[in-house]
Amino acid sequence: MTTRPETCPLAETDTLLWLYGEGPEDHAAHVAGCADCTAVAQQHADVAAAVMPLTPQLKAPTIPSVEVAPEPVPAPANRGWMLGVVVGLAVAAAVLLGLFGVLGLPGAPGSSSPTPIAEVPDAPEAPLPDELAPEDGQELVQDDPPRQVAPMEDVDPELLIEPGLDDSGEPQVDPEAPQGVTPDERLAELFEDDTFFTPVDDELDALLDDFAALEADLTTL
Amino acid sequence: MLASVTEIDRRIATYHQELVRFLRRRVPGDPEEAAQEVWLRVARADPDCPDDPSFRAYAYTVARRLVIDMHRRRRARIELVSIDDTTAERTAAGGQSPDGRIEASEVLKVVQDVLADMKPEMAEVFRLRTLDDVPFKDIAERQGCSINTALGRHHRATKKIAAALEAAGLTGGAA
Repeated sequence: MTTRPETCPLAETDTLLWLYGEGPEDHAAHVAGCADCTAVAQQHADVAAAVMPLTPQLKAPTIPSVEVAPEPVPAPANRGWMLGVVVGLAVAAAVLLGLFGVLGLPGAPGSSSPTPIAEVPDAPEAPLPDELAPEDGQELVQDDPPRQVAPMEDVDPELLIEPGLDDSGEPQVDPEAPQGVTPDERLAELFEDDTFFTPVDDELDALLDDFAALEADLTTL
Repeated sequence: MLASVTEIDRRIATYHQELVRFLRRRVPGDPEEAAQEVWLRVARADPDCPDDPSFRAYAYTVARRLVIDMHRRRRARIELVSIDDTTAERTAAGGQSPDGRIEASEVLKVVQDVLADMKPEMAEVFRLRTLDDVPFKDIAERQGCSINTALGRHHRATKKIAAALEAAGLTGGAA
């Protein structure tokens, strides 16, 4: 294998094409009579003999080919109206921003009336701002200390309202109920009283009687 | 220009054994068959060779191209029948002798190192042309360059690999 530079102008062009079967066959005569081209052919033949049997190991991982069909791109004319809308919105936004700037509305970029946020220290150790400091002769009044909440067992039992008692602690009394009658006895009396039920209940009973009569007639037929 | 049959026969007889020795370590399979293929191509071309040295030079030129052609055809067959990497590796490594396998692994390492060190576009041209059998014209289109640029890149890559193999004492092919 020779590594000297080639001087034949065909050594790296026509000779290589012929060597790999892409050039005219009659170029073999030139290669046979040209020392440079013969050396190139010898070098490539030796490398091919050494490398080509190892093709499976030498092949690189699969690389996406450039021959992959590209995604179809819609015609620009179909999106012309979208471009117009976008441009219009951008112009409108610019005009509005300009108006905000001229009118000096708060919040607008470049507004002349900014609303600074004063930082008020939360920590009690932090000193108060000058505008909040007490005037001369006055003292700062501490906040009320936390109030102590009495536990449940300390609550006065008289304040608790038991079931069946009114707000004053006396037993609840039904004003319509006869005196000396317990609630259970009053409820029993109401169930026994026919006038206690509404007219709707009477109508429902009449309908049920009619259905029973019809059913009896159908059975007879 | 038609040379006499007896003259061609004489020249073939003169250089046949030398050519077989040249092909023995360069072509897969039987070097005698490869030599016969060389003589067949020479006879078909009927080159204008006024003397024996020019005839010898022409025969070796044909033989060098045959080396590349035979490896390309053999590799195509390997790609068609290979089922997995293990099969391909066993087939491509020669596998006839332990020495051949060791030499093939050494060649593989040297070539992999050289390809990893060279410029990506140069290594890509070498892989596409030598390993994937992609024509130079298609490689040029793929890389967005002229065909002469692709040819130059391939030649420089081949020279680098040849120099590395020579430095590692692996000249002459591993097949």
